[in-house]
Amino acid sequence: MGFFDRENTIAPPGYNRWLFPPAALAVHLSIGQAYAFSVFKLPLTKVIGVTASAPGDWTQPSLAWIFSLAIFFLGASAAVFGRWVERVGPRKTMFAAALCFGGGFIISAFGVWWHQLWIIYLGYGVLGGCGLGLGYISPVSTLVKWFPDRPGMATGMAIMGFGGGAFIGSNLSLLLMDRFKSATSTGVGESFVAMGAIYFCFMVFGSLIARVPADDWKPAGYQPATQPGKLITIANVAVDQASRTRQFWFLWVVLCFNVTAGIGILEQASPMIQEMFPGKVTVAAAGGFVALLSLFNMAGRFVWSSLSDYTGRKAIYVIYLLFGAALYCLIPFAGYSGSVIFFVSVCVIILSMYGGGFATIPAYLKDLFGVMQVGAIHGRLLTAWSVAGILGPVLVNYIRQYLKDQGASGVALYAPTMYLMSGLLVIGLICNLLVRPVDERFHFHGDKPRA
Amino acid sequence: MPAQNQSSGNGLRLFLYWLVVGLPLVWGIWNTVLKLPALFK
Repeated sequence: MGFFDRENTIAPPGYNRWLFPPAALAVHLSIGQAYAFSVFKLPLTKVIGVTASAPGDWTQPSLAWIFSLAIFFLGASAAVFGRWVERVGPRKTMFAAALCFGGGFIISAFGVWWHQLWIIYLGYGVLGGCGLGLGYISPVSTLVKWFPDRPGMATGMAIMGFGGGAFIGSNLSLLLMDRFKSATSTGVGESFVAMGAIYFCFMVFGSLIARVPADDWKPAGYQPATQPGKLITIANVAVDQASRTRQFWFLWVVLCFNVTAGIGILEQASPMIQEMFPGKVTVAAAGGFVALLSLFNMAGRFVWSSLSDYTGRKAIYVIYLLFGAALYCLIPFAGYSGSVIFFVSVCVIILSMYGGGFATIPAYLKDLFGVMQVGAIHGRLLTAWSVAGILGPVLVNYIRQYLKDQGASGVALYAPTMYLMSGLLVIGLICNLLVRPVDERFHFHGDKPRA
Repeated sequence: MPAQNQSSGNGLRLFLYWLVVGLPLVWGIWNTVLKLPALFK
């Protein structure tokens, strides 16, 4: 029996369950760096020229594929390896995620030094993306098992780490590039090596301290429900059965459209506020706006998801989607009114609910499908993120460009997209309202398998 | 291990684990918060 085997990670009696969230956070704070990858984009366009792009240097569109590949492989690996993650437990999964994510950085460093973009696609995009997927789902089912009384808060805490990881990632990247840059190098390759090593160590720390509760463990004073609630099952559904239910695909659409809408704003936040308020918002102020959005994105993950433990999951998604749809319609209105404060207030609430939508999904899945394979089911649902990661930026960028070519400017460049996003949220709202308890024929009968 | 020792061991580990993940997060958030004043100028 190896050190990383699940059986070796079962917590002894008296183990404090609050010792597990730091393991989850160590992993999510690391992989959240993906949100800050754009910090490298500009320096990567100057690898040959160093101070300015030279002939042969990479272009921004070709570099954009690195992030897109990483997000695609996040969803794909979470879907493919979900059952394996459930079987081997969090310690082995977190270690595998550390190898992939840290290794992805190291391989990418060679891509920079040899100026071969395909090596970065393979390193950060494919291998790093697999690290993102494995790391993202690694703590989910264990958190739900440690906190059966507060699953929304527990998963919200970990997924908040993914949002918070962007703050660490962006500042660390800038710090390292500043340290390593020279007259002949942008310092990106060396920074990749350092970040690979730092993130590997941090994620291994999470792996080493990860513990799963014993099968018969429950929190003091907690009485598991003996009768199903309105939308909370006491049965379990296996991952292969779950993906055959309407409920799974309703939630897939909810997640996909909620993320599409949120990414649409996040991706274009800086140019959007400057173009909507010409002369009023400087580049530095736009940077502050992006930082504020990221803070609300992170906080929303914990606050909204924790709140869902009291309101119920379906109700909180009604708030995200209905209120969100109304707020998207208010964005053009805020732009035409000329009030930056009004515009910023609307956007930060939207971004908090975008984060909330991400963080509440694992608890929603646990309510509908039980805890048995919730991590694997969550993994399959993350394919919605892969789709949204492409759909959101494409919609905003292409519609904006089309309108610009037609002679539009200012608020008019973004208004139709905001109404479109609002429409997507309304479709998500309808899907959420259609969610009913999973039919008994999908329930698992027999001894609990872990995969 | 006596219950009291186990409890204090748990407490120390709890503090250290949260410190290890909390410090980088606070550092990252603080550096980000420093960018906010530009928005309100």
